[in-house]
Amino acid sequence: MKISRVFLFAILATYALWVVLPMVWVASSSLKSDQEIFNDAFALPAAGALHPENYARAWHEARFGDYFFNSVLVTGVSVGLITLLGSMAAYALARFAHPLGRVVFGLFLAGLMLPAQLAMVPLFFELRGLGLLNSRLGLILVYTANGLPFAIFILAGFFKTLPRALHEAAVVDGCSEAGAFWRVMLPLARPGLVTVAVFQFIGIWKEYFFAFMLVGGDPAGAARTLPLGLANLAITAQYRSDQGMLFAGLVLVTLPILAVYVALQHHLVRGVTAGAVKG
Amino acid sequence: MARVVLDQISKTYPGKNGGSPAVRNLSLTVADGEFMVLVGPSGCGKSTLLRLIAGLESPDSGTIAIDGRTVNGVPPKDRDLAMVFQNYALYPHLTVFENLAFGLRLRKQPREEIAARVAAAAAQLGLADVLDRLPKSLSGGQRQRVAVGRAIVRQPKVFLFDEPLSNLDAKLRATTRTEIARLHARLAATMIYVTHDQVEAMTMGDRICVMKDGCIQQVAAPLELYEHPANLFVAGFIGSPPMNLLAGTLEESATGLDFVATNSPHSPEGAGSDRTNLRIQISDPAFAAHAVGHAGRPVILGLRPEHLHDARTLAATDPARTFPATIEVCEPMGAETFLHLRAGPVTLIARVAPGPRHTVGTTLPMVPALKHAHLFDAVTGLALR
Repeated sequence: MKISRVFLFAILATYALWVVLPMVWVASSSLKSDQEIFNDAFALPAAGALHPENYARAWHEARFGDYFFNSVLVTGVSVGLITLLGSMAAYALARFAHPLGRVVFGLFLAGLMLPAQLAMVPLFFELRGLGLLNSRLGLILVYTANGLPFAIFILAGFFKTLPRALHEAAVVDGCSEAGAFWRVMLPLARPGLVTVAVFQFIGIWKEYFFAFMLVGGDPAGAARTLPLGLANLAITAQYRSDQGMLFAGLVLVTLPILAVYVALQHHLVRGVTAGAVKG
Repeated sequence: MARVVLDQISKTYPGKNGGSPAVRNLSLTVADGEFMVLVGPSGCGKSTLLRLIAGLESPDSGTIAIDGRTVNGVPPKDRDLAMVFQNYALYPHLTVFENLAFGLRLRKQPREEIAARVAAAAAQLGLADVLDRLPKSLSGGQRQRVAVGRAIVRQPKVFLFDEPLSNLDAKLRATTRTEIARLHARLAATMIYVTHDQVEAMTMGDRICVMKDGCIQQVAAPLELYEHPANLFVAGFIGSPPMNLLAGTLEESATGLDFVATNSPHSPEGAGSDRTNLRIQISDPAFAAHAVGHAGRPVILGLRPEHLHDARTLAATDPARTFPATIEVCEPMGAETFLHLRAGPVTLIARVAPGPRHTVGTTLPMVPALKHAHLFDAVTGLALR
């Protein structure tokens, strides 16, 4: 093996440990009692004395069950809307020449460049005026609007790479414009859709700022998402000193992201247009 | 009955300076069941014409009628035609079976009908073994057959082919050419076939439409086109090696009429030892009869390579028509030999019987078969008849 390869693997291995060790530490701590954590923070949990009840407490006492449901609902609907609306808008902008197309595309890109936090104050009052403050629907709408520029940017680029002849073949074969989009172009854009969906899922799942501003003001916390719940737990756990439950909550927040990434990662790199046209 | 009638079609693609017209005021009728080949150099508008018929582009003016129905503004899916694309445009996410069944599913055909028609097409095209594979795992020839199969399962009124063989290697191209011709004979469907390859045009078409700069140059059966080209462009485009085109004038002489070649713009200055003009006495009575009206005018004499003979191989020749020509390049093809010759200021190609005696540098007595010669107006390019 060449020296340069050894060097490369050393760097990659270091990086992998850097990423994996904290996760392992969090997962192991979530199975320990507070006593054990304070005795030796880095020791593995004793094999005979695991504390899975940390999870039960987080789920029920700290209401992670409710927050989990909220997060799944808000993230799922938002990601669904972003990929659906984003792909349709991106297709239209990429495929059809319209005098205003560039302007509209430019506006979407502008949305990508401006930090959405700048719009926080007007957004807050707008949602309050609409009566959508402290509601899951309000959060979904904000997340969807916020995610569309990225989705359109990625997907428009993707649709432009698909051969025009495929669209024409579909149209001659008997598809309407909409049919060609649903039956041919959208399935071919799957790697792009997955990329968008994964990035948006991770971003929205762990989003704190919007959630804090738009649904955090409700003392009952009916619309709270997991990051809010986790922050809440971190604040209260200080006083109750229930570190095990806090670690369990962290694992509950992190697991779905890992699961989605592991399940879909091969889509992120695969291109399916190979074989569409000769070459 | 699927007659395709194009009436005064014009199409200009938008671009700088108003764009350049791709098709200009073009009218063409393709008869029911006819195999019409659109041929011409790249940029002549032949693909645009096909796309206009398919409905992938809409004409700026003029009408398109299929089967007696004007289809301007009718979307492609309602025109009942199928198209085979140059790059095949197979749906990469669908298996071969689903690619073939795609159009039938859209037309809500019953499941058994779809299965039967796909199976029949697959059997015909030798695709039965690859029905559950994805296009990317197929060879170029197989992909091309899937593209053809996708068209034939639909049983459309009109088939459109857009240079379907240009991505195949030479051998596969020849066999597929025959397959498509056989397909046409069996289906008796109207087919419109775009190619830039004049061999495909000559061998496949019932009629050939030669195009240049968005205009039709001539529409005729292959041999009619070959034997009676309407103008210089068709004469030079159809036939391989191309027709010899000699610029010159017709001059009255003591014996009647002579063709005198002027310096061809293509011949290098000072090449060849003989700088005297090539003079061919026009003794063929039929040719002389129609040439005589054009005496004194600049003309182009067209002579196919096979109509230029080595005088020594002929039983009797008129020495007045014989001229000496020097072999510059000799291309033995096996069944025949192409000789690139220089005679005075002009270069010529002759198609002669193969033989061991063609040495570069030797001078041969050549005789033109004027009975088969063509005469064109040097200014308008039109055939003089």
